[in-house]
Amino acid sequence: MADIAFEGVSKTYRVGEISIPAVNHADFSIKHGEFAVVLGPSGAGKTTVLNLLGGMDRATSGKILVGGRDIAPLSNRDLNAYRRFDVGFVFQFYNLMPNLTALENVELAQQVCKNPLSPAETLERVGLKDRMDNFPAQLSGGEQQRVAIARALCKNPELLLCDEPTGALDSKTGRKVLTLISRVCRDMGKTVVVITHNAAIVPAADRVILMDSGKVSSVSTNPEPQPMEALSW
Amino acid sequence: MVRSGKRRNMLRRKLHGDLKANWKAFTAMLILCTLSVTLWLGINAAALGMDRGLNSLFAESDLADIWVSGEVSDHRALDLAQLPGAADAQRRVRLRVKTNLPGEPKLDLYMCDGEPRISKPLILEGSPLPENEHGALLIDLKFAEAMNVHVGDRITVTKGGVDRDLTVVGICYSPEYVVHSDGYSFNVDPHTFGYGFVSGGTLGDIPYNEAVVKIKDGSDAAQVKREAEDLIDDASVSVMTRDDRAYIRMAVEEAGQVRSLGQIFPAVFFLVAALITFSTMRRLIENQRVQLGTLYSLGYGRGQLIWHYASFGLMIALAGALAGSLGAYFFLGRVAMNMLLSLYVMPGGALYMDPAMVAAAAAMIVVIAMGASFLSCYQELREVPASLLRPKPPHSGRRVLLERIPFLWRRFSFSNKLIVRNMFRNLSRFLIGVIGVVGCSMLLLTGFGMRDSVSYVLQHYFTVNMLYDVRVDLTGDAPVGYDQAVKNRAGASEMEDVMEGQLQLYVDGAWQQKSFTVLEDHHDMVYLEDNGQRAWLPLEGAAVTRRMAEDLGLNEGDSLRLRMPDGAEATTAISRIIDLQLGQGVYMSRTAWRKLDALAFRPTALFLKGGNIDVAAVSGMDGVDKVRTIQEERMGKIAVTGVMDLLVLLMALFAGALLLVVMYTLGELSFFERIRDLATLMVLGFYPRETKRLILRENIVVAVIGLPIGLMLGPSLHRWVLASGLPSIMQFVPYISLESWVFTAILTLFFAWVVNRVIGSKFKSVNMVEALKSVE
Repeated sequence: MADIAFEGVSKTYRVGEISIPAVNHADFSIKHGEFAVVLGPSGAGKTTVLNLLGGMDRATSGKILVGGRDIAPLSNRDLNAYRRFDVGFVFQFYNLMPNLTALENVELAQQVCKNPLSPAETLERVGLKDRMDNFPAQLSGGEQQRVAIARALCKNPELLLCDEPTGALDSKTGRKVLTLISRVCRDMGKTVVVITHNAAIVPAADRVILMDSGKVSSVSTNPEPQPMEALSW
Repeated sequence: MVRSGKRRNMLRRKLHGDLKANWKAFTAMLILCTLSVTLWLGINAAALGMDRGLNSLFAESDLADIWVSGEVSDHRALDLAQLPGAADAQRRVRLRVKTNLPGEPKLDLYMCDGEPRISKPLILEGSPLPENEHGALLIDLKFAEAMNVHVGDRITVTKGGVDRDLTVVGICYSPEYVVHSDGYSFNVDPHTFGYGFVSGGTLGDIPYNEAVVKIKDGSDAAQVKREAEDLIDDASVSVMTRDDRAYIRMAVEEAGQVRSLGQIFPAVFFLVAALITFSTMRRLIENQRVQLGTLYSLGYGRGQLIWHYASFGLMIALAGALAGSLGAYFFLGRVAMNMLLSLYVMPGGALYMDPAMVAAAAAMIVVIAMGASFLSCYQELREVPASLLRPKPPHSGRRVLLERIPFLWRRFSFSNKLIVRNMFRNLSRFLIGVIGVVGCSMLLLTGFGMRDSVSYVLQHYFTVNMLYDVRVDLTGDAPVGYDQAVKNRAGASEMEDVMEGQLQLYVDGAWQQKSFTVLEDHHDMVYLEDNGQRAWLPLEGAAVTRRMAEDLGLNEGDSLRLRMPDGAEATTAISRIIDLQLGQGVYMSRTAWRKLDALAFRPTALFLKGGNIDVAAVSGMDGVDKVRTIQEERMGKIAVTGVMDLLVLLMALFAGALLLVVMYTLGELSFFERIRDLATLMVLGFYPRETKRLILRENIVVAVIGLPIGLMLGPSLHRWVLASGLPSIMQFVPYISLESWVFTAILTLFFAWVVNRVIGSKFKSVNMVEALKSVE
């Protein structure tokens, strides 16, 4: 069960003698299996929240509970294991290995997990059955992002974290990608956190966390989210 | 004006910042530039120093061009001086005497007809020989140092039972002894042999037995030699040019040989320096692509920007040229010069840095470094500013040839596939890495191998070839049957007679002086070889050592015209080529020698064998010149290997530096290029150990591929260096010991491992969040 809770989490970056608070006493929670959206303008601290949640960065203070375990005080090695087994990431710029084919990129992730899904099947599930042997440079942006999603899902993580997954895509493709993420995750029962500055997807989310200037300004739930396909933006 | 001044200043500030930020990569460039210049200038400074040293010593002493042995009358000397090509001639007495110093060392004494004009002794200390005073002696430097003889000391010399008291008036040197040799072996222990010049009349009424001739500027020594031979028309008189005098020739050739070594090694380093500079500058400029575009769009001209980046190369090249020159002058040049000075006697010999060569080295390294910077910058600047401001599109993955062989490809593990693709993606970089490893292992193997070869020659000669326990040199006047007396006195169980000397060999239309050795028919104490098998001297015809046969172009079956020391001529055939690493020359059995019917066999030395030979009892005997155990003979030669050790250390140092710099630069390049890949792997949850394995295994592959190639090519370099670097009295034995092979492999892999450790330690510094933030 991957219920998520941020309890008074702060993150302050120190550049020389200046302290920049990126996240300031953030409190929110997300229930297992929810499709959550973190919304806010740039510089609001969204990405920092996601990095903290994904074990890529450390909080300055506060508790980050994932499935009841506080990951804030974990050692580097434990954080590494956490990323390895519990989290799947999707980035704005895909971050695929350029000299591995689509299938191999997914296999790369499959290699290191305990209960991975079949890479080929996962790629099929995201609709790339026929492009498996292509290199990233031979794929369109949307296709590359789908490879990245397949790579994250293949690890079979409890938690899927997406940082502006549609940021580099045109709106049509972006919607397709988001539709894919929401559908696949509901099917598989994953908890999903998507960062975006695009408010259009709010109606499709189970929970919306609004951030501004490093603070969580509101958390709202959506008892009856609309299907992603039905949205217009 | 003011504005342009400010602008340049700003770029310069950026330059300083860039240098600071990339100091490791630039240091690597600097090291390679420095090493290249050091090697080139250092080796050449020693070669030039030797060349100039010899020339100035030859000129200062008016070294003879022609030597005529045999009795010379006053009239004959005048005739020689009046030969068409000759400028001057002088008679002198040459006499070998025994001294009363500890160990009874021998001296070759020279007494000239009047004040020495040709092959003059150079006075290093004290005063020249007085004109009308008997008993004054100039003693040679090496002997004086070894025997602790000083100006004012008195030495008694003995010849034929007559004692003469001499007073040392000065310490001298003659370039005729550029190799301290008694005429039989090179680098003779100065405790046993020296030479000197005595004032006129000192030696009494001895006939002049040698003439030295100086030729006119521009005449040909070989021509004058023929004229002299025609004039004298007596085969018992030998006429020699500088080329015929093996040791003078060896010294002159050595300078040229060292210089040829000084071309090829630096060439490798210059090449690698160019490749590395190019790669480093390429990366710097690619990293600064957007900066470059910004500057470009701000209105900086292309020329200005190219100059900005080329000035990195210029600064590093200039620093490298300076450091390299200093390194050559204070370090490598000195070491190489000292090595030469340990083999050759050249008072005042010092390395010489030719300013023109320093300038050439600096120019070359500047052209290489600036050229590489220029090229890499020029490529980027061909694009328009707008496209420079956009990040470079990600490179495309490609299938490699290996994948077309599914049978093999399927067997590759996942990470191996990744490594193979990466290697092929950066094929040129991969090749530079392999070249670095190949070069390093070749240099290491050659260095170790040279030492191996020299000690193998000595070891082999004294343990396999020479099987006697004690060698006794006899004086020329020992009576017949003396050998038995020596044997009995020494208490030896076995004895063999040897006759050694110099004869002349008619090759390519000229007489050449070579040494000959006559051994007993059953020379049990001298183990000669022919391609690894024991070879006995034939009872008919002569045997020639392999190196000499190769140098002179002689083959088995060729007929051989000989001229004995007494002038008698004989013709025989080469019936065998033998392998002997030291002591090249003509070898004959006693029976074959007798069949020549030219010169009676007369032992000049004895080989003794037996459990407890009484050396002391023998050395006091009248007809005995010198007694040495085989261990003593061996020790005398081993000093050479001490110098060799230093050379090997140097080569290892240079090879190691080459490899470290090359692999470090390449490792850093691929590290920077793949920070993003690394961060992705980290986010995916790869442990640092796994990430390192994936990225660093490439370096290991480079080492593992390069090493066998280096080990395969190494022996050729080794052979080449031996052939051009060793004196011609040695047969070259390209021997490399097992240890050297192993050491080379271990050291090469060790260097590669060190680099991996250093690069690996950078992995900690990767910040996932930063690295993945934006595409750069």
